[in-house]
Amino acid sequence: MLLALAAVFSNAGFFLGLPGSGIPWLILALAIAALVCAAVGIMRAFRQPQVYGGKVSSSILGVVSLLICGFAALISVHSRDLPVATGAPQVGQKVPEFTLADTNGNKVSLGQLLKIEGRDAVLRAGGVTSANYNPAPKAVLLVFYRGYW
Amino acid sequence: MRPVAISVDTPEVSRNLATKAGYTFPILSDPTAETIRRYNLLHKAGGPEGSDIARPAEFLVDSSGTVRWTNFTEDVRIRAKADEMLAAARGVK
Repeated sequence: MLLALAAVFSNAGFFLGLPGSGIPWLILALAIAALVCAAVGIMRAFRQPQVYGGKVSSSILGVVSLLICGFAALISVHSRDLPVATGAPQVGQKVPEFTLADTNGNKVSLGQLLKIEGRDAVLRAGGVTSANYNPAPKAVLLVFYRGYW
Repeated sequence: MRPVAISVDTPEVSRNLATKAGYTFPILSDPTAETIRRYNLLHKAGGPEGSDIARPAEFLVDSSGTVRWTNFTEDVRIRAKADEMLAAARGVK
């Protein structure tokens, strides 16, 4: 049962480590270790119920561990559920031109983003007017993100 | 290097995000996902309630509009690191 508890705690570690952890394999390793611990814990509890607490409580802990691990696995699977980007522009290719609204509703084109210099208040987010001199950049980093933040 | 963020969020949503997070780089809105589609980055029904969104992707584009570096993650939890992007940008003369 102690081991089953350890399993639950290692899962807690997974949840704490989730934001920006950047190492999903560790999460998976933790979940697998947790399951092994839970299985061993339950087996011990059933063999020696007096030493390792009751069969019922260890079973409950085991099931809880399993549920948490299942949830962890679900997140892992869902996180990798992305369409392939084979048709996307590759290194050496030209990117398609676009014109989109910025946070102030002003239309901004890629051409502008690549060339604009000077006091470009249009390019400042959050309605903040920039007094800074912004030279034309050497490059633009286009970051497509999922949104709904 | 000028970072530019693009998503299906409306200008209002992006403005809130920029204000809250203190972002000063341009955040562009593609609510119809037209540009996202043209870049072949559409994640069909990837958003809440089956809405179409962009799959995460980063492109470093030089002044001629040519791609110099890309990153297409296969796991939403893993994104390009700032160091990588800055190193790629330093390579553009």
